[in-house]
Formats: sequence, structure tokens, C-alpha cells
Amino acid sequence: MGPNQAAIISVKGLSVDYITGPVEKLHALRNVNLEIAAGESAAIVGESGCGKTTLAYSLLKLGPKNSVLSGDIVIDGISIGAAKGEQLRGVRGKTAAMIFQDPGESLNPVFTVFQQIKEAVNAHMSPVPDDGAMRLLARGMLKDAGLDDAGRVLNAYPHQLSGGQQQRVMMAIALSCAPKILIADEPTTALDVTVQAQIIKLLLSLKKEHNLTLALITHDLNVAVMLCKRVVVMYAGEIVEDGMISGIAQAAHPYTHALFDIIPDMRSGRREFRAIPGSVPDLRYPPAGCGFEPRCPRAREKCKRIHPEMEAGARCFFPYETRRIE
Amino acid sequence: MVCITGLKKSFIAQSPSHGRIKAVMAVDGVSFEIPGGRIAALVGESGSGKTTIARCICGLETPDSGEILYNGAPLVFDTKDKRRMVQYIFQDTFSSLNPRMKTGEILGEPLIFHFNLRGGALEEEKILLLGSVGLSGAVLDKYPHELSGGQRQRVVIARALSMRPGLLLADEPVSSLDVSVQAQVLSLLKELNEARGLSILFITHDLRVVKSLAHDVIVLKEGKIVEKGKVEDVFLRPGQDYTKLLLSCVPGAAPGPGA
Amino acid sequence: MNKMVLIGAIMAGLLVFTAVIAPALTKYDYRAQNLSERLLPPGARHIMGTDELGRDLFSRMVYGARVSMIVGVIAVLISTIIGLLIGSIAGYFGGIIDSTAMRLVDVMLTIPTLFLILMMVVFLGPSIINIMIIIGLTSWTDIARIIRAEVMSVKKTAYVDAARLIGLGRARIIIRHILPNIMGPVFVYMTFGISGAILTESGLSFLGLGVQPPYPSWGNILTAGKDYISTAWWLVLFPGIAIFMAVFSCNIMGEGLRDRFNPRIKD
Repeated sequence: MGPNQAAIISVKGLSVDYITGPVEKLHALRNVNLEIAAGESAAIVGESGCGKTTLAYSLLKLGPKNSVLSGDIVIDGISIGAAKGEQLRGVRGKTAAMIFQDPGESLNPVFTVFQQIKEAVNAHMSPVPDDGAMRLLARGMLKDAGLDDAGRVLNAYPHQLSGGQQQRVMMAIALSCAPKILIADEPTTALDVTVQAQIIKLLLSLKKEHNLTLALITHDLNVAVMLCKRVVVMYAGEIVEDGMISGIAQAAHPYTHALFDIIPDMRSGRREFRAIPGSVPDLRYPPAGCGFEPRCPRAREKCKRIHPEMEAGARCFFPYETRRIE
Repeated sequence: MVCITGLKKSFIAQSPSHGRIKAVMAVDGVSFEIPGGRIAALVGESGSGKTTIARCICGLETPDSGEILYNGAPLVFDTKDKRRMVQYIFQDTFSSLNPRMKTGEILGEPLIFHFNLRGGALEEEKILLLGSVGLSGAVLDKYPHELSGGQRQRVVIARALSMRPGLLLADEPVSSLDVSVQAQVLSLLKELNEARGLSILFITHDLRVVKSLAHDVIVLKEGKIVEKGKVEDVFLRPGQDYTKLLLSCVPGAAPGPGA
Repeated sequence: MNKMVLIGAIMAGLLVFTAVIAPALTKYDYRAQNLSERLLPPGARHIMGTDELGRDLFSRMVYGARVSMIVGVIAVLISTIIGLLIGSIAGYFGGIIDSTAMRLVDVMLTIPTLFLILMMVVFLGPSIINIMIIIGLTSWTDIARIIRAEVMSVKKTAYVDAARLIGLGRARIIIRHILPNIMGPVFVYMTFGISGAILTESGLSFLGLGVQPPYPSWGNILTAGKDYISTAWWLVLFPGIAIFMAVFSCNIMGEGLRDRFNPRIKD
């Protein structure tokens, strides 16, 4: 993000703890700093437990009741921590919309698609359009989302639609109030590979058309790189790398490097599997030094004792040399 | 080693759009072979019938028609020894282990039932099994919810291996695992195939894994086989449009638009 | 352990405790009649007063607690065992076995329970043992249905499939793999069942068809008490409160357990 671009999402010093027992706390996010400019797309990648989902949900204050937040989150000028009631509702859905992994679970099974679009529009638009105008509006949205038989889909219930159609409906609902930001939490993970490709294409075109700021949460590096130039890599509750990464050549942090390395390569003849030995640290007792140290091929004595800060986009004392594309 | 001919299986389902009850042809005349000691990948999207085929092979479902031959003889699980021959690994690591049983008991059950092991011999065998999947004896005392996803999947594999099967059916065994852990489990499967000559039918929708793991691939669409052959052949020179479509949709198959 | 279960358990625990150490608490024999001390209000010598035959109410109440406890627990055990047998066989085997079992349940449900109980008591004679058995035999339908549904759902899990793949026999699968995983809802039901059984027993005893005098039950204390409601309020109040407490503590424990066993919904 260039120094001149205004950040539409600004996260400073965000730490989130989950209370898991009378004295026990899980430090899900540890001092996260992230700025995303308007119109930019950033993919937040990592494996389970890295904190990416916690980060996404915290942006819209959707965390579970046993979570404790500290730090600042500012979205389009509004401080999320302080926002309540009307103001918070305004951000959710109007400024920033969110789509989720399993569309089948996020769509209300007892309402038709039309009713759900209507609900979303009514919540954020005033004056509220009448039914006729609403139908027209809804049809247009569904067509934009790539649903050709918009008429049938409008009157259908979610369970009557395929996974891909449901995800398109979710996207249509999300975009119904012309949000500036789209937060997508693993939008393609639950889908078949052919449908996934279609949804990725759709996301790209919608992003361009509506000039959206996209925050994409995913564990699939290939998908991340297809959708976003900027990749933010998370590990053990922290951001460990943040930059324009499109392949292993740009991976400075050893974890990022390893993630790209272990993806089975479709094109090569290589037949053995590379793995990252070890497992993620228990975030109830975060390590004093670098979280990745026990599994890192480049780790040295220093890494165990001292906690690395972000330097030139990577939280590492001994990063790889990279070929960066700015 | 395993020869499947003309397999058909249908289910009664309530059509969600019309509320009418109708028969869904999950598997519609499928024939293929798994030569001994090889890994075959069964690839398809949801609704392709791949899980149903696997469940028919291992006896969890009864096919409507068709023949399944194991080493030339029809596959019927009427004796303990025959039951051991084909084992299954499930996708969901959590629900494939009884939440109320400790790992030690989970592994012990097949060992006691099939081989009548007791006492010291039983405990020794459990440790050996755990070792062969890369786990230490420490997990014996733990309940499934106390283990990580990767550990649970290995316990599932150990349980299957305890019966010394000739064919292992693995239904999306790594889909619910983290990427870094997936590789560990896949390596294990590969090693089991190479070291013991264990035949594996590997069901997946992720073509990236097929290339590195399988020898042969069978592409399924809506209950029918679209294409099958050696992995190198099919991936390099896909004959059918559907195969080409699948290959082109794999994330990372082609350089991304990365807008 | 959430608050509801705790409160319920403490209250029920107190009642059970008093019932168990009953002899130690009472200095009067609950059968001892003393006609010169009839209908005394609660006071220094009789902390709950006396009944129409001069018997110490507190002693009778405490022994009555024993009756309620025993009847409650045994009746529920009987109905749960019947429910387990019918429910798990119906749920596991399905098909015609399931249909037959469910038809049996339907038949049971069409017969008005109270009527059936009354008939059975009239024919078999009122006694604590008969009452326990009768209540047990007439209240298994709910638990059978719950168990059947749970068994059907657990049967579909991967670990049950895995057990079938090992080649284990059906009995082993049901006993070791299915039943231990359905006990949550069963415990909830049992807790509610106890309060239901206590109420039924109290009702029967009140009608004179349950525990027979001179043996005390909260219900039969009320039988006499109802005639003296305006003059000897203690004969109605104390058994009433006792029944209320017993039922309330079981129900609140049941509610707490039900919440605990329900899959948690994410916020």
C-alpha cells in the first residue's frame, strides 16, 4: 500500500484473547497491525488456529462472547471498538459486507431468496423501495452475480439451490447495499473445483465493477494468489509476512516459503510430499521467541529467545532472499 | 486385484424442488480395476458417486447390481478374514473415532476381535501400530477430542492397518486437515503403499494431490466414468472435455489473474 | 456445571439427605398416635405440628421423603430400561421391527395413562412396590422415542461404520458404540421422569390408592390434611412445599442438564 493511499481498514495493536477457563486464556491474536487501502485486495492466509478468522470477525465486531479485544480497528473512519447499535449496524452490511464459507448455513432456510435480499436492502437503504422496484433491483443483482434464471432463483428457498448458486446469492445479498468493503471468509472452500473457479472469476469481476476493497480469508495459497496481489500470512496469532507475493520467489518468511513449497506441483514430475514437521504452538502459552522457530529450517539460537518484529514485510531474523514485484 | 464391473446403486431421495420422491442413480454402471500394489485415485465433484462406490466396495452399502471381485473371487464379507481385507478411512477425523473410547481401546478392539491378542502381546502390537503411523504410545491414554486432527487421522489409519488389509479405501482423508499436516498424512499413505504393497483407492476432489500420490486415476461425473488411465497419461493428454475442465479449474494450474 | 444443575442438585441432595438419615432426625415414631396432642400447630415440641391422630408431622414428612425418593428412582429406572430395550432395537434394526415397536408405542399412547394406572392399582392392590412397577410400566413411551431417535442418528456416524467394518457383532456395536453416546438426553429424561413419578405417586396416595396408612407419604398426609385446611394449615402446607421442592429441584436439574447436553450454537 502506497504512502499516499488512504487506509479504509486500519487495525492497530489488535489483540484478542478467548477466555477458556477461570484463569486460562487463549491468545488468538497478538498485536496485529494491518492497513488495507480503499480498492486494494489483500488475502489473509494461514492454517487453522493462526487467527485469520478471528481477525476477520473482529473487523465487524462479530467475535464470540468469551473474547476480549484490545487495540483499535477503524473502518472507513469509524472506530469499531466504540461503535454500538445504529452506527455498528451501519458499518455491517452497508460499509463492509461479509460472505462466509458455507452458504447453506448462512442463508435462512425458511425464507426465499427474494425475502432475504429484501431484508438486507430494507436494513440499509432509505427510502425503502416498494415490492415492484425491489424485485427489479433483486433480479439485477442476481444477474450480476451470474445467475441467469434470476426469476426462478428469486422465488426459491436456499435448499433448492446448488452450492454454487447459494454462494452467488450470498454475494448478491452482500453487494445489495453497495458496500465499499467485502470480507470473504473462505468463500470457495466448500465448493466443487469447477464451481470454485467460477466463483473466483465472479469475485474478480465484481471487485473491478464495484471498485471493492477485498479482504479474502483463505488457507489455500493458490486461491489467494489468483485473487489478490497482496498476501498477508498469519501464524500463531501474528502476521508473519505482508507483501506482494505471487509465488515462492517472493516468500521471505520461512513459513510462507514452506507453505508454497509443500503445495503439490501439478506441472512437475515430482512425486514425493514435503511436509512441515512439528505443529503449531499452543496459544494458551505463546512462546517467548519466534512462534515458528521449532519448525523452521533456518532457525538459530536467537530465534528462541527474542521475539522478531516485522522488518521489510517479514517477521524474521533470517528471511529468504526474494525477488519482489512492487 | 480388485475388479469392479457394471456397478449400479440408486437411492430414494426426496427431490427438494418438487417434494416428489424419486430414485437417484448415484452410481450408473461403473467398471474399473485396481491392480495390486497400486494407488488409484477416484476423482469427481460432489454428486459424482465416488463415496457410494467406495462404500459399496467395502460393504457398507449393497449395490443394486454389478460385480466386485477381489483376487478373482466375489467380495463377500462372511468371514472374519474376508472382513479384514478391505478397510476404510473417512474424511471427518472427528466422527470416525468413538468419542467415548480412548485410543488404546479403539486400537485394541480390532486386534482382540481378529487376532485374539491379550495382555503384553496386545500392548506391544498397539505400540508397533502407532509407530508405523508416526505416533508415540502417549496417545493411547487420550480421548479423540484431546488429539489434533492430524493425530486423529493417523489413529484412524492405524486402526485400519491393524487388520492387515489388502485394500485401503481412503475417502478424502486429508480434506479436513491443515495444509502442512496434509502432506504428513499423504506421505504416510505413500510409504505404506511402497513399503507394504498396500493397494489404495484414494477418493478426492483435489487434483493437486492426485498427481503426486496416485498411479492411476478414474474421473467420475454424475455416476459414470468419464475417463480413466495412468495419471501421467490422463493429466498430460486428457481425452475428455470434462477432464480438461477439471484440470483447468485447479487453483494454480495456470498462472493466476491476480488482479 | 451450570447454575441450574447446581441449585437443583443441592436442593435434591438436601431432600435425599433428610430421607436417608430419617431415623436420626426424629425422636417421635411416625406411627405413634397421641390423641391428646391432636392438631397441634408447629411449636417447640413438634416443629411441624401434629396431625389428626396426634402423630408428629415432621417425622411423618421425613419418612414420606423416603417413599418419594424410592418410588421416583425405581419407577424411572424401570421405564428407562424398557425404553432402552425398545428404543435401541427399533432404532438400530429399522424396517419391520421398528414399525412394530412404534405401533406398540402408539397403542400405549392411546390408552389414557391415569386411567390405566388407576385400573392397575385397583386390580393389583395398592402398595409401594406395585406403584413403582405400575408407574414404570406406563411411562416408557417418551424415553423409547427419544432413544430411538438418538440411536438412529448415532448409527449414521463414521465410528459406527468403522465398527461395522471391523466386523463387530450388532450387540457389541449397540452396547459399546451407540449407547454410551446417547446417554446425555437419557439422563435429562430420567431427571424429569423422577419428578413426574413423584407427582404421580403423590397423586395416587392422595386418592387413597397409593401408600396406605399408617405408612406416610406426602400424598396421603394431604388426604387427611385437606379436611382441616382452614384449621390446621400445617398439614397442607408442609407436604405441599415438600412435593413442590422435590419436583422443582428435579426439573431444574433436568433443564440445566438439557442445556449442557445441547450442541452449542455459535454466537
